[in-house]
Amino acid sequence: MAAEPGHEVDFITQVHHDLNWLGLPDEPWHLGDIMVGSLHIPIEVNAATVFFTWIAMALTIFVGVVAARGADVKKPGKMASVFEMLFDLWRGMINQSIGPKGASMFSLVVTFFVFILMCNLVGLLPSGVAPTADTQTTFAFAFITFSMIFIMGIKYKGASYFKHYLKPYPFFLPIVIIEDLAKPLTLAFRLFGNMKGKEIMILALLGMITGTAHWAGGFLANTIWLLFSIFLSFIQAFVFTILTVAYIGVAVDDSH
Amino acid sequence: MEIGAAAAIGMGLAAGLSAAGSAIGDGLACGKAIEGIARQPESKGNVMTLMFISVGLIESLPIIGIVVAFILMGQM
Repeated sequence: MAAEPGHEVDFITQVHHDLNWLGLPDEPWHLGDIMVGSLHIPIEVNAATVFFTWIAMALTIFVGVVAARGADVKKPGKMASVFEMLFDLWRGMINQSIGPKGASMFSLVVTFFVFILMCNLVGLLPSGVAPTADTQTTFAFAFITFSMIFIMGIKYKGASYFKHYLKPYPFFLPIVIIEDLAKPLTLAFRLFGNMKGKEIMILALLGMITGTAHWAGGFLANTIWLLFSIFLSFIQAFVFTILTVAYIGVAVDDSH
Repeated sequence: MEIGAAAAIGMGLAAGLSAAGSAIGDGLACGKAIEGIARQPESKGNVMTLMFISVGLIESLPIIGIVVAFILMGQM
């Protein structure tokens, strides 16, 4: 965003522009349009999101490979022990909510947790943009959860899964439909809002004193905020995954 | 009223009210959680896990309010 003479750019955009040492473009890539009658929907992909998604994928694969190599009964490696704690935690949660039917969900749940955590944490690197700070990534995750709810429900209950729309009384149908649509929407927006707000606060705190990133003015406040955002990244990854487990538990449960 | 002025007022209202809502909701949930732990210290693990899940759920709507404030910031 160039600052034309006589036109003030707000300082958050200025700091974002100053921090951009990788040279990532500001404008999203335009991939084409969908024309639905007279409605014009552009398809845009952010370059920074794609780049940092690749980095998060590489980190996740690296963590997984190191954990698998260190797995030894007598002398386990450090990363393997951390992964064992993770596996125990999620296996306990799945057994509590879904029971023995949830054995097929285990790899999805652990992948969600580790990948979303890496995506969130990549945003804390200098001039890093978290891929989850883009609505496209979070809606993709929410769509996976949404499809898994239907798939697991139909797999374990057959076609009578759709009877839950009519219980307890048939005139609750609009409310039940809204609830089914609100689950993936709130999942996506919760993750997106947290990550986007964290990023904008980082930029705002860096530029607070003089309005540019070239002075170490907002350094202390920025450090404290970075600590808090590490905590937030863990919490948001955990909440997303445990809500996935809970929703699938509700869909598979047959105690009504 | 200009668009810029109305957007600025709207932004402030959205952010402020969502902060108030999230603070009250979190305070209620965490207060009850601390009471429960004080009453029965062995249930600390379960109650703390439930508290984190509840805070994550309660804060989702105020965060949607903050997203509305960001959208308005672009219109300023």
